[in-house]
Amino acid sequence: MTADSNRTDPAPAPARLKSAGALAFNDANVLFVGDSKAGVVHAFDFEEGGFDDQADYQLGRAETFEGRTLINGLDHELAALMGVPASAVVINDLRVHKPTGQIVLSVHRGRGPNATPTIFKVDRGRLTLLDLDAATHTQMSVGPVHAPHETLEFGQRLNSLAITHIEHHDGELFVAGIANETFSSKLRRLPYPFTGAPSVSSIEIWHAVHAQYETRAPIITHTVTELDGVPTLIAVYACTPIVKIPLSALRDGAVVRGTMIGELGFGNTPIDLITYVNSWDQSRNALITNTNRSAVSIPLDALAAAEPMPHGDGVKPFFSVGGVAQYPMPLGGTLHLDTIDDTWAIVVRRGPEDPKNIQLHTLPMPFFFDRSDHAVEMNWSDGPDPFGYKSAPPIRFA
Amino acid sequence: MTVPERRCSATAAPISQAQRIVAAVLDDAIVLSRLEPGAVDDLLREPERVQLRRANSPVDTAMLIALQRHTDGVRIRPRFGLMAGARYALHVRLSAGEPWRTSITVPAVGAVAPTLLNVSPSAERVPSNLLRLYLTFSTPMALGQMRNHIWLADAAGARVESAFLDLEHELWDARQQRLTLLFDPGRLKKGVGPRMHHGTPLSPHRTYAVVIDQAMHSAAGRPLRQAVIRPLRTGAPIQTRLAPDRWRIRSPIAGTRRSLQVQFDRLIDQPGARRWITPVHPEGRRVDGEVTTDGQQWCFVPHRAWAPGRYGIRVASALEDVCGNTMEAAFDAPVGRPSAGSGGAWVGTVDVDGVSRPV
Repeated sequence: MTADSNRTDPAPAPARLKSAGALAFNDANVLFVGDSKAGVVHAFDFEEGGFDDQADYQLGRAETFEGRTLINGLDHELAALMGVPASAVVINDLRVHKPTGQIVLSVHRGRGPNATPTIFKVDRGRLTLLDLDAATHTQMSVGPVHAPHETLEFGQRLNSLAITHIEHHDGELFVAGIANETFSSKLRRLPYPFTGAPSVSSIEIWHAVHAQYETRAPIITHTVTELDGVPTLIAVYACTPIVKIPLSALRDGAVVRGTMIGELGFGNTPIDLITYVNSWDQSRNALITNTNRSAVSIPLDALAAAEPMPHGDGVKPFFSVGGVAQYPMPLGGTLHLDTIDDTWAIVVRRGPEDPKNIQLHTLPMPFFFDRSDHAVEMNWSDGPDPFGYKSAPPIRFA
Repeated sequence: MTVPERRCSATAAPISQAQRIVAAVLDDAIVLSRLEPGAVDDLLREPERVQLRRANSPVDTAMLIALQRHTDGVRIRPRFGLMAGARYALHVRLSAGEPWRTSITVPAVGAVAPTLLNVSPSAERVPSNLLRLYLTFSTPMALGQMRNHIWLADAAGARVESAFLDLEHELWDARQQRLTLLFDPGRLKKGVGPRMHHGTPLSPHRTYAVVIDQAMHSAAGRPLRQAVIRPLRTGAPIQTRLAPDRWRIRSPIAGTRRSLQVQFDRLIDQPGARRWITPVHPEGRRVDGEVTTDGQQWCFVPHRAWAPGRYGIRVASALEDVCGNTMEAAFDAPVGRPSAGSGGAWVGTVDVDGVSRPV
């Protein structure tokens, strides 16, 4: 169904989704959707052509650090399509389908227990519904995984799990979540494709503190990448440390302590953790966006080489990880982020001039920096022009 | 909304189609009636002639809708339905560009103002290293309000900053009536940065309050009848493993349906006590009955009278006290615990015979 024309036949829309939260893609055309309400991860396998190629859509001009606002008032636009006030729109996650560059959003209409979950896609700047019926659907339960001797009692509902993040890597999904009754720190590892029998590996994630204490550590967000050629999970715990864990340690039933290599301060919650390539120097980096401070970029080489951080005495403040500098990135007000390619990132953000304006906006990489957002001396007509901005014609978007 | 018909007279102009059209809400759709057949065909052929929006929408984008032929008109079905109590603006471009507009209000459904039913734990004093609080409301609540409408205040009424973990995904139960407030684990864990720099959220032997301001509203949009200020008094922290062998168990009497009672030695997580503690029949099967617990004690009333015999009380390894301590390890576990595969249930025994006694 498209947003710019009304259909004359009834829209069937069988409700497979009970909720639509964390999103992930594999390397082909499979969209994964975390459904905390149903306690499952859905896999929607689209064929070729399931997503719209965005290659001819102009994202801005990276050479002059100029991005593009695809949609202003994103919450109002979604609300208008769904016939609700903007306050009833919840944008849960954003992910880019890398082969086509298409942006996908998981959205809830309403804030009550019967909120309608929906997946929207952005086609050349226009919001349209993603037709999930065009995909082959499978799903896998990620409900609390009990040891064989533990059974649910008295027909009670499962302890709810809020799926906080899903990542696909090499034919597997890594699913993190926070339970609402126990301080559970299970990381789940699911092979994809989903076969009939549940085959969820459950790993208890712990956190070592000094050489004295260990605590359970729910993961808020994570990514899988190679550090020095070793497939590694980089994760952020709810109690704020950044850790690295080799995938080889994440075996079913294992109890794993991540190597703590950094700490994000209190009063702040990390949102997204992605890896990207700096096209200027070909370095590989991780970026973490935050609710209450600007984002930070950490070179993966530094993560690989980082010594375990001291705890307690000598805990360094936020901007230092074992002596290696982290780079603050100008990404305040970012609600969701993903990369489109090595040149462009896409964010859902509070507008820099009006925080009530929720924007879908591109940011030139590698610095995630749109100079029109900032008071930069090159913006002035009589200011310096070391990069030749003034000789560039004003951008006109088609 | 009906349009009153004009009286005909010999010299009056014919009544236009626009004047005859009637719009009404039917189920989760809007039905337009008294359209001419040609007009219906036009609309079905060019559905963009029908534009539905919420009244006073700040943007031009129209709602996603589907059109169907319906008796003498069309049925306009919004993709996401209509909202009770909402007002909509409908624009229809009839043939030859004749515009037709109306406003439709969907009847409101009465909604009751929510109240806070319960805070758990509700004991006189809670340990100062409390990990979780549960707030139970009388009706489903709207998501996304915790950050702005719920906070912890100290004895002077000042807000304790960042006491709770601020997650985008709030921790509600399936009905969205019970909210889990998780104290910031970074401020609870020993030796971790946030605790080193900013201390624990609660100190021992103090008085605090959980504050919910009156703007907190139900999923149906009704705010609380009044703000809630619920005192929270702290005692000493509890930093040891759960030890069920310290619990006091009172055995029931065979042949009766009197309750099996367990008195805990500390505050146990109340939902966990409901979920993870189960009586086991002497023959190993489960015993059907009702559990009541407030986290300080646990009572089980069977559906059928107790048969005599040695029963088990099974405590699953997932059980936590209100500070997150488990049987396996304290919240801040000594190094080396746990090791893989070491978590198992604890099973106590209780003999049911003709006499009720503490075990």
